[in-house]
Amino acid sequence: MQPSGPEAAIVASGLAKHYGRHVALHELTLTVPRGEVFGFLGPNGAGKTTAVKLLTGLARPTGGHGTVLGRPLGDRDARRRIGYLPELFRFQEWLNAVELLELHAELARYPRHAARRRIPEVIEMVGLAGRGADRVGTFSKGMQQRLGIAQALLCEPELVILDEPTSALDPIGRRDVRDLILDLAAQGTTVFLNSHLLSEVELVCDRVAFVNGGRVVREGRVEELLAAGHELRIRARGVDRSVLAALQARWRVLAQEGERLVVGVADADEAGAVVRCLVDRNVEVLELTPQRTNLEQLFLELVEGGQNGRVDLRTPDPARSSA
Amino acid sequence: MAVWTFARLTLHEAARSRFVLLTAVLGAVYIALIAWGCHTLLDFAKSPSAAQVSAVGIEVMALFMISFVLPLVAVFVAGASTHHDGETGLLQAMLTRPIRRAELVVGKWLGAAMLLAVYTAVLAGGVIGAAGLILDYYPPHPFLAGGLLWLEALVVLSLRMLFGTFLGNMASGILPLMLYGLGWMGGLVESLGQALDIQAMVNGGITTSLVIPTDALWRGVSYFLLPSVASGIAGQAVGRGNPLVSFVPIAGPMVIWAVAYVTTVLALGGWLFARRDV
Repeated sequence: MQPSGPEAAIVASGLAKHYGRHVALHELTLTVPRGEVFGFLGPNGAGKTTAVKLLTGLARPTGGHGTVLGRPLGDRDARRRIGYLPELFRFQEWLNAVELLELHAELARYPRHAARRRIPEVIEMVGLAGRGADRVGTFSKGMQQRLGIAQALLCEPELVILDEPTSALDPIGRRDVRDLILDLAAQGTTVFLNSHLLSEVELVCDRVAFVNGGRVVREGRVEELLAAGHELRIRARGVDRSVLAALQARWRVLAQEGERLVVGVADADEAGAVVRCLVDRNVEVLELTPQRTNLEQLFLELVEGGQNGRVDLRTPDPARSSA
Repeated sequence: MAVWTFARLTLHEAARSRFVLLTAVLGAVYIALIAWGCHTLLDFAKSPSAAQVSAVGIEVMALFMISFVLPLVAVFVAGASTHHDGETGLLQAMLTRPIRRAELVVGKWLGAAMLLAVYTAVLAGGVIGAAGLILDYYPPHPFLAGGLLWLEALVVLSLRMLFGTFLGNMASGILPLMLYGLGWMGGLVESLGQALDIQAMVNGGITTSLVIPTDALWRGVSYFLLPSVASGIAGQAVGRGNPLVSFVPIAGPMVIWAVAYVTTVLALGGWLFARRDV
């Protein structure tokens, strides 16, 4: 199904969910452009699943507003164009895989003739070929997750929301899901991916948002976030306070102990400038290894930094995004 | 419409569960026992008219038992409560489809109501048929009796759907049955009030029938099982305050109230479920 309009796939503005005095989501503001694979990341209890429930209309926000595919949250027309795999799900165990997909096609008002063509297609797509007549109750957790992905993709949705789609899958299953997401992206489908497996998110997502304590603490394109996070691991002799001050004036000094020095730079190409800065101050550089920060490191820095009060999570530190 | 989809899903689930098979087998055993009872009575009856009187007694007692069994079946045949299904992740993927939440509640109700209709027809039809074939007594209005019996089960089913939107399986099943028990007690109090001529007790019973009209419906069933001549007993002492049988037909407004009750309780269930977070 082709996108039906130019507007963003998801817009959330100050979206909040309070359960009495407990705040599950605190003013979520984000925009997911159409056709992108968007990673929604955060620790347990950060409010990710609550956010997904608000976006899919399963729960009502207590504050703020938003749109999905240009329609208000929970709108039935928008839901017709969404595919959703919940984090915790259970299917009717007494149905077989084909019957389950037929049920979902019917509920989605997907034309019957199209469903007859599409059901074997998605069953094959998720690696369940030959198991269509088997009851869901006989499926392993991983196979049920594959079936869950099949039901999410069944009606050729414009927006696919996957909440932890690979949690029960083995490495082969994870690779298959990764390939599926990349195929969807190639077809122009918007994918909203909620996952703890950051290495996979890094491989498939165009853009990510980190959520912590019920609010977005960092959002951006993956390459930009990672570009802001190169590290130079240096072994050097003669580093004193004046040298550290000179380095800190331009870059971030992440660690220094004995001969070991870790400097955060925006671009690995800045290694030359760092070395020149050290050599000009009579520091003997013995070894230098540039290292690219991955999403996991960034995640830990944002989450643990926030918890320890080392990093202001609400406003990104300018020194981190520009040298 | 998604209502039909959910109704068919409920029927489909029932067809694949052992519960329906078990109730069918037990129902068949029950009818066989009634038939055996009728046959035994036939041997002892001194005249055809005595056999027919026995048949009335057997039918009333047998359907009275069925009127106890049907609410139990109604609670189980509705399946898990929607609250339970929401908590355990069964509904999330379905409710993000372009459906109204109320369609799920009404669809499940409709499927269960159809099963109850079949079960009522088989049990009541079996009892009336057995008594008719063996003792040669056919009540004047068997379909009205069956219809009211079904309506009685629907009252409990609707309450189960309503409570199921915010309570788990156990609580949402027990509460309607407790209310059903309250209705029966209220009917008993009303009968005693009539027998002893105590208006306050009669009023208490009427109030209970408004809270849950199941006992009033049963009395309606019992009247339609009696031979036409029974209505003459209404004004006599035996006709007043009978805790089991009514010698006057159920009041039209009470039937209307029972139908409105079922509809309103079900609509309230759909309305509440539509406003719940899942």
